[in-house]
Amino acid sequence: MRTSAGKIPTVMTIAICALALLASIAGPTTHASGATNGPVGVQAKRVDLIESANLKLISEDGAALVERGQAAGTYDAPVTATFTIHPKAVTATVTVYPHGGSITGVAQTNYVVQNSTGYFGGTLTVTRGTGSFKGASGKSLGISGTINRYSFAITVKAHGEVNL
Amino acid sequence: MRFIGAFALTLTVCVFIAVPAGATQSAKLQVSLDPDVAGRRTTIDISLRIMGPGGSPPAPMSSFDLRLPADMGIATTTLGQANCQPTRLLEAGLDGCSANARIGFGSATAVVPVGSQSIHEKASLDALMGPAVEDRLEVLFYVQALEPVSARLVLPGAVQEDVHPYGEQLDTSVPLIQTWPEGPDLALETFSSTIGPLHLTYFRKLRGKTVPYYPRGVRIPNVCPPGGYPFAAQLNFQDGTHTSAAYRVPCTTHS
Repeated sequence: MRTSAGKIPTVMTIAICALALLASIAGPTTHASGATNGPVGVQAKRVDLIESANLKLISEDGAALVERGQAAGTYDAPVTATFTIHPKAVTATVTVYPHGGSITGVAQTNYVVQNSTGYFGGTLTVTRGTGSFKGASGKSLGISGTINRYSFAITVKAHGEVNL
Repeated sequence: MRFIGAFALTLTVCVFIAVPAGATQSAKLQVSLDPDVAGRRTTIDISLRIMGPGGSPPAPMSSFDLRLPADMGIATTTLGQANCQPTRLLEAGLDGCSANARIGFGSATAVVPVGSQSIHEKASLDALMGPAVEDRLEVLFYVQALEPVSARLVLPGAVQEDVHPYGEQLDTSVPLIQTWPEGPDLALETFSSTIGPLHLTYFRKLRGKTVPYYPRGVRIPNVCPPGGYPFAAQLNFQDGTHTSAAYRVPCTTHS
């Protein structure tokens, strides 16, 4: 009996240790997801962003094309973007202005020209949010689109997960 | 001061070491912009003259790279709204490609050494947008020579990213042209071409009608870099030698 009784606390100790270990692992994970980071009651929200936009050339800033238009999808909102076209790549900074703030992302894409259309595709990183979208982040969102080489009108589609 | 002096000395030594590498051939580059106004879209006119040692004809070239200033790239133009296939050019000449593929024109001369004499050949040159190669823009220089050697030639040039103070470079291959069986190769002596919308009209369909369209050329940056807009050419010859030439388009009062 003594022997048997002596085993119980050992098992309990192991169990408690295991729970503590789990808690220690789970703690930072939850923290990292942002559930307990920030004011009480505010929980990180993951949004599956599916957005498409038609943009028109507004002006040129050096080699960059400054574009403006309207996005539709997860957010129906105005969009501004700056596209820089390189021989085989396009870099872009895109900002969407949903109600209550803005979300900005930086895109790195490949670029191929076929006749009067340029095609781009690559990744978008959400780098900034303002207002209700302050702290917005997201990596490796997909972005693709076309550039009309007569007018520099651009169609763009973006999809992926954004942390708000 | 001692450091600056040492740096200047090293730089001078490097410059003197660099020069003999291209000593056997030399080249002169000239570039003009039309219009030459900061912020405006322009046509670049590039002229290249290649000289052999001591006034002799130059060696045949294998390739040349034209380097364009930063923020003055071809990629951001609306030049070349159609892609021309090199095989179509060789088969049918300019008629084999859409007029919307043309991005410039010019001329070229070549020299053929025959004994102690040299025969000079003149050719017309057209620059066209080719199909993308390995996802890169490709410019085709179509050279058409009539006398004394009749030849159609396509010089393909890949548009590539360059390092500051340049933005893009046009890496152009020059194929060997034998004048006659067992004869010498043609050597390019002068090459001049525009890249831009000057004298070009495209046509596009708009609401069922064909309308003229004037393409946009390379945009001149708003701020002219100190010393002018830098252009350069790196030339590689069949005999393994290289030479280079540089030219700065001066800043105008407009820029």
